[in-house]
Amino acid sequence: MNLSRRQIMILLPAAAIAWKHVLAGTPESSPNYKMTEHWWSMLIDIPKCIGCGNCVRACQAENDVPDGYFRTWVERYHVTDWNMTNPEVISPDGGKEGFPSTADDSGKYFFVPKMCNHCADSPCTQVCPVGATFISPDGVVLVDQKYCLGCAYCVQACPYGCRYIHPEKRVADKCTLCYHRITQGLTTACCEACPTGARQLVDLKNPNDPIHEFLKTHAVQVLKPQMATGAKVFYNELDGSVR
Amino acid sequence: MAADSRRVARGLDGCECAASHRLVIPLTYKRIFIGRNLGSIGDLDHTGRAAAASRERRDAEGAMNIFKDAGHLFRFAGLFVLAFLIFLVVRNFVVPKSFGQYGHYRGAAIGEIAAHPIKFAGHQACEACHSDVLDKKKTGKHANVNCEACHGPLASHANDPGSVTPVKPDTAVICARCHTASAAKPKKFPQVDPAAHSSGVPCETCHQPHSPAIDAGGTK
Repeated sequence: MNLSRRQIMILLPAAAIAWKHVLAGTPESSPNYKMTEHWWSMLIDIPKCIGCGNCVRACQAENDVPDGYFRTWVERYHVTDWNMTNPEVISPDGGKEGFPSTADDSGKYFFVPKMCNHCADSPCTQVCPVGATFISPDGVVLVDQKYCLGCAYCVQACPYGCRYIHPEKRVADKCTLCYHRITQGLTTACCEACPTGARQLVDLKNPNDPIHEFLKTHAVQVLKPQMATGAKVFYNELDGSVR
Repeated sequence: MAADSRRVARGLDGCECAASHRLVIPLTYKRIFIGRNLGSIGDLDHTGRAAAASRERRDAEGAMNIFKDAGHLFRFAGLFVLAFLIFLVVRNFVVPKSFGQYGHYRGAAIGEIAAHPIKFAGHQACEACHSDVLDKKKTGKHANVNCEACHGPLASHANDPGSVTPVKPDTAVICARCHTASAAKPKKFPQVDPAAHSSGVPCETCHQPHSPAIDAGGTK
């Protein structure tokens, strides 16, 4: 078979395009779970939280979160009536082992569980230089740890401080909303372990989800709405002093 | 200052080399407007005769001259195409297969994250076998507390009940985590000071954890 130089020049790009299709293969199919039918988020009911730290421990056990790092944590706010804009916030070891006693009885105390807000317009995914973090088609902000460089731009970009660099893997790590659980019909580890129902997994695309009625009838907020991140973790009766 | 400006003015007006200026300036213009076909600068004089002759020569040789030295351009274009082909081939190997499947990321990562092993079996798995505990729980205040909230992650037990036996939680620790009194907890939530409440007597002596109220037949 004799090919002229001209023929080779024509064939090479064609072969490259064909090879690309061979490599791409067929898209992965998951028969029981359709990503396009869900839009996950979470509801946190502040008046129900007792600060037991079950969610923090459950998250660390479920997701192998290293000690001293947190995908979710609980903060205790102490707001005195004359100092609304400067609350005292503590979170000893993420609230994992509970909180010290409330010695000062003035003002009000309450717990605020924090976690990734799985923003619909997330700043963290926008700054990733390599496309290692992304919003999945079902609304969960995930990290592709095989692709992550560990540059920590996303750690800086998150206004909620929800990301960290894994001390051993040296890549970005964060709450996955227990993606391995919710895609199998289970709730997240933190919701499973919460004794009072203060945390509830929410599927905004499910018309039967009680969240729709809840959002209509309760004073629900998201954290830092002024940052226009499209945060999807809804806080019921969130105090104005929470940052 | 005044002396300087006077010297500059005199230099422009009465410059001794004015004649050479007149020669140089037209030559420069010729080189710009007539261009490379002029040949060597030696052909020029300030009358422009050589330039005119060169222009006639160029017209005579016609358009053939344009392609006379174009060979190196084709070689350069060939290199460019070759480099582009190499880029395409390398890109095929370097960019992961599923990149761009759903967006600017590796689509296969979603499946990899979803493949993470489960540690908390979920209360449905517990209730499938332990229906007796479920019945007892339903009667009490802990009806909505999931099993693994107290018993810890037990997917290993749910997957292999024979070989993995859960450890019974220590009520002194487990109960106190939730029920130790604190001003930060909701007022309606039952809270005690553990030391004052039981003086070290284990909680399950009086309260059965699955149905904790004493008057509800909760005692063992």
